[in-house]
Amino acid sequence: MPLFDMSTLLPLLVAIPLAGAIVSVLLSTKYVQVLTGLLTATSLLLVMGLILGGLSFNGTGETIAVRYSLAGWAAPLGIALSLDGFSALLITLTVFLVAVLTLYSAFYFAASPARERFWPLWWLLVAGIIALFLSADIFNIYVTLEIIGLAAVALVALSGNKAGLTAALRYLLVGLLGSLCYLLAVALLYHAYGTLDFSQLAERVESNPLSWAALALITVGLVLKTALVPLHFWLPHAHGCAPAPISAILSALVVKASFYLLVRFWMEILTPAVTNDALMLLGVLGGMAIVWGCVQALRAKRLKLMVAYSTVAQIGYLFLLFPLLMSTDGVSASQLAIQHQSALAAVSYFIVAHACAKAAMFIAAGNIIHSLGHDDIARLQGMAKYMPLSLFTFAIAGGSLIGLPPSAGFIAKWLLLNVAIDTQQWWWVLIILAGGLMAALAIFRVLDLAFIKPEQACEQSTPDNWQKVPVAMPISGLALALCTMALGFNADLIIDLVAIGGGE
Amino acid sequence: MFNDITLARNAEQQAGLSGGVLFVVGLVVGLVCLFLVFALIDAPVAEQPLVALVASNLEQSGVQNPVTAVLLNFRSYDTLLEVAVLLIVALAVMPASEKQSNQVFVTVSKPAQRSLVLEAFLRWLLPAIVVTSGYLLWTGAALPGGAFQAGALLAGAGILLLLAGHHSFNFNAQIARVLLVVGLAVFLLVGAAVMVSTGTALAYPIAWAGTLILIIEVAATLTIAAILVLLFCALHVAPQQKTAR
Amino acid sequence: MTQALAYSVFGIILFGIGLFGVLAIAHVVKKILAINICGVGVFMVFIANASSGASPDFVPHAMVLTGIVVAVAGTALALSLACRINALEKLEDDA
Repeated sequence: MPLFDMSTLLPLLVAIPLAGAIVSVLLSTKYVQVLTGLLTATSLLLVMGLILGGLSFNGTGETIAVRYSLAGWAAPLGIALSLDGFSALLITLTVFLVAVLTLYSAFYFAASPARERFWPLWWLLVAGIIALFLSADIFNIYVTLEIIGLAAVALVALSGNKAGLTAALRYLLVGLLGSLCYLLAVALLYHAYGTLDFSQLAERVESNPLSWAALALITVGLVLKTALVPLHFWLPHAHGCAPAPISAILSALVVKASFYLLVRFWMEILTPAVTNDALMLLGVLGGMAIVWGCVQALRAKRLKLMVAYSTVAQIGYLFLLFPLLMSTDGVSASQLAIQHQSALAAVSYFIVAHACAKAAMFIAAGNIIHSLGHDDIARLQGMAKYMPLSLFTFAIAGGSLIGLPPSAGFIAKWLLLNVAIDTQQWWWVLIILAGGLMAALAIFRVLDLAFIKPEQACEQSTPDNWQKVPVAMPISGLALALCTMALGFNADLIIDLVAIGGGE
Repeated sequence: MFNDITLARNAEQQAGLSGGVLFVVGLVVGLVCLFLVFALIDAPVAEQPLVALVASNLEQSGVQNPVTAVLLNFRSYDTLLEVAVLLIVALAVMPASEKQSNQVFVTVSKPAQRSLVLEAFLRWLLPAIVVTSGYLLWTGAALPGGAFQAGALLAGAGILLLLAGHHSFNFNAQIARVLLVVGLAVFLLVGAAVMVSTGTALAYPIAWAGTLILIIEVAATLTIAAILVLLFCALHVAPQQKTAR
Repeated sequence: MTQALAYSVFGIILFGIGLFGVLAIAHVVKKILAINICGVGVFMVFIANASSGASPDFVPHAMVLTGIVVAVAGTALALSLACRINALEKLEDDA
């Protein structure tokens, strides 16, 4: 028997960051806000640790998904929270990254006038992300999507310059349109099936034009928010113009939130409406995203823009999940379930690897901007001498994005390649390898400049307005980059976690 | 008027939208609509299990108005997050704080141009609006009404006060900050406190449900009113500034 | 075609009009208005479907109320961003 009913902790995961936001609005002096931030991050870590402990020691030996009916009303009347392996992994990732980025932001925003508004918005965004991963109600998901969308826009707009505001406005309009497409699908589904709950909906959905329409609307809406090519046009500017910790959370978690929903809808809820052609279409778009994102990353003039375009490419890899779910003739249901599970495990691993690496990269880029005041790639010559830690972070995280062993990125791509070969879709192998090669070109272009030519650079780019960053800033980035290495050695942890409550 | 906002170059997708492109966009949108309409007509008409569920549980919700019961009891979590959405936007549009004027929420000044008729009228109107807002809040338990309607009306009173020119609000003042978060804070506190008695977050004990919902709604009304006035302030260009250009 | 179905069909048509506006019109305020038209269309589908049974379903009513508040919030944020960009542009023009 477990010591306590672990499900009662689920609402805390949303309540803690909301409380953090309220306190940061009320007591807006610098130290109180930072202290609140650290306290909130620590308690989130603690609660998530207890929940993970509860998941693995629930006495029966078999781990299952957890449900919690809010307000005491069971679905369909009330709203349920649910936690299975996939969402537990993403929440753990969120809580961990948020803790590191909170520490980083405490220094990043120390002298910035935007600090006062940053903290409450930050905690509201975190509450939204966790609420989305926990929710098992399609209308509640709409509200959490809006929390995430509006808070992310408000955070992007914190930069206050014209480029940032324009990027924020475009991001907002795209996000609102995406949410409305999603909401229309909710209206259709509720009309036809009379429930908003995930599992009840999954039982009732049939393959009919209405389900196809709902799936199409949900996919278009969420693909807009996930920024899959060709609907990625807003991402590079929004992610490239925002302050560094915000770019990090946008690339690492916010786009993953809408991708998580896509996986939920395609793999669990609207499965009867899914066809092989549609799965293939998403895969092809993913392949295009990999190529296009890498090409643009190679051509980018600013470091942060380059990192943002690399996100476009990495999102493409995530969408390779979908063609790998295709059912072929002569495959039994149980084999298909195993195939789904291994594809999902590969992609979950990819999400974690990319989130850590990309957050580390944006932190490194943020440090460079913080001390140089710009991030023109051409003017980064010889910078390794001045900021060795940040460039080291950049290199390790880059290695993971390229997929060099022994990083987590390598394992992620390896798992993905395995599934692609198992399902006899060898062409994805070519795209994955080509994508890795092009990512390597983009990253070595920066490293080459920064490391190899220090002597020519000395007189022309020794920065006059050079500012030293507090040592905690590069250290937090380095910690994340080293995490991608550590994860490369502990692949089983993640794969086992995703298997909880999955398999259908 | 918003006419002076001319952000024509907002998104790539407009770059040279010729007649042909417009036609294609129109065609695609039209086809999408046709398909959606077809899907809707073709859809199986589900029986609505929630109609009976709402009706049979209404007595335990603490209110008689089914919409209020859904908003503040059955699906109260949605409403809690909705208040958080409002707070986000409030924070996003809040003017940057100025250190010296951090304390006072409402400042009264003598405008250059006074309108005696407007002032006299407001003296009558504002108390009536506040009373009506209170009535809407109270009646929300049984009839259409509730926190948002009451808050919107109260915000209307605030905007009238602003437009009369005597008063200006400083939303960085501590009391304004309290107003902005009180709705969310009370909702969260009540939601957590009821765990002591019922063991479930947001599950009110039946005997207390009506009172607790009213407390939440009062706080939410204040927050909604404050945030709507703040939104108005953020978007409002004072007339004298406009003529100066 | 019942009355409720007719209303939800018109809701979808409104959604389409808004969608066309968002895609085709450059002016940002008109874009924001178009998104609001989209939203109204979606809300109409909710409400119309809620009245299709013998007695009205109140859950969609509550959902639409929530949706309206969210739409107001989104519109206000978009307008305030547009105003700030506009102010910056005016500064640039004056300089």
